[in-house]
Amino acid sequence: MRFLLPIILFALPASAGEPPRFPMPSNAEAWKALPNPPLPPWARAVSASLPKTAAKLLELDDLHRASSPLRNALAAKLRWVASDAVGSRYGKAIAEFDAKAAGVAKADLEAWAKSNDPLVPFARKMALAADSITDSEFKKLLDIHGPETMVGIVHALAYAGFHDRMLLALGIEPEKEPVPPLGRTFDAKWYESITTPARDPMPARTAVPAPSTATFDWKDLTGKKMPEELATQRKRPLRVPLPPEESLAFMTEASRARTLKIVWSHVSQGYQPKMTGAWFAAMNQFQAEAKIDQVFTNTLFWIATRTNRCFY
Amino acid sequence: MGHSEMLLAVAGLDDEQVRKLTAMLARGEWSAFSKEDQVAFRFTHKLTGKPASITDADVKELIAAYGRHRAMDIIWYVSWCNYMTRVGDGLQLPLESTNVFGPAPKKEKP
Repeated sequence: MRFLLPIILFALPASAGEPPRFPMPSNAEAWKALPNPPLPPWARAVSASLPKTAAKLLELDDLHRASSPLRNALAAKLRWVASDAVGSRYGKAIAEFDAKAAGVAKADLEAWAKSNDPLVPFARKMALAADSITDSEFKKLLDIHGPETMVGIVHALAYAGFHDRMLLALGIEPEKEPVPPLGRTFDAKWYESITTPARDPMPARTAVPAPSTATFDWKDLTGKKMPEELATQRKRPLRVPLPPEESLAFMTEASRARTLKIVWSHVSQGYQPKMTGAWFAAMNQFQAEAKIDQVFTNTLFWIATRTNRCFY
Repeated sequence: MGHSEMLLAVAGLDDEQVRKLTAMLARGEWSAFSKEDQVAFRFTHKLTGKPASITDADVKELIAAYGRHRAMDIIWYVSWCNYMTRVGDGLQLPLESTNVFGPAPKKEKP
């Protein structure tokens, strides 16, 4: 029934008097690419450049908001704390909306965020400086929740880290009434019917002399220190038991063999196959749709990992 | 960081090229890169470290350098990076000793 209610969407500009950072199609225009009402504003903005990826993201968003393996109430509480930590007003607004739908009032949400539950500081650290989480902090939570739930909690907070950055970069402000989870999937026929807009050619990457615009000091890890940090990461003990190979029985032999080589994939697929599968589906759709230079993107990946001090 | 270096190798750089590239990035020697690259690098650093501080001017600069659709690609991709690193850091995954991102296995015969 909720989808039959007329909901007016307001796409607020990033700041008063300024136009939106990206063209914001009307709901009707956006539905030409994504056929189902109503869409959240971030999906409308993404759909103008990455319509198929927007569809996969809507499915991923649905999983985290409406059918989380963690239970929706816990997922919403974690999202609220993570979004609050990074200053994502939209993220907090949808967390409040989803918490209410799961039976958690706003006052209870705020009380939990001030409680002694060790998940609260864990969620904040995951949002702000995940590298600063200690083994003892993780062990304390692992003893309470077990590996399957802890891997789910990490993925839920990783999704918040992803989604909040996208919202903040797109300049998306909270709506008067958040859009509920979409509650639908898109079939192969739909994907085949959609054309991704053509991209401008990438700028020439030849080194034209330009003053350096680096705005940081990373010299603490130059020289031998960087290889030392990577060597230390190779020796680190995993914080959860490696899931048994049988946990990947749902995969084809080739996919399983590839997954077993990559610890990130093995742990994630072994304990949280739904969250991981939905994430990989969005990631793979983006790769197929954007077709962006891999040296360029992985250079950005290196900068992001260095900024986060993630040596994995 | 280990995975990004593995993926740079899969993208076509040899070990020496990866070492030189990452050393230049780490030392802040960005003047060796194009103006547009530097815009993307600075945006990546800011969106990763202080996402709420991204301004209209930052996004306009990115669009001016890459066009609207590629700017969206970059926003999506940098946000993606922040999902991946949170799983890596939250679980403190041990880095594999060899490049695990070789060519994908051939499809199984039915």
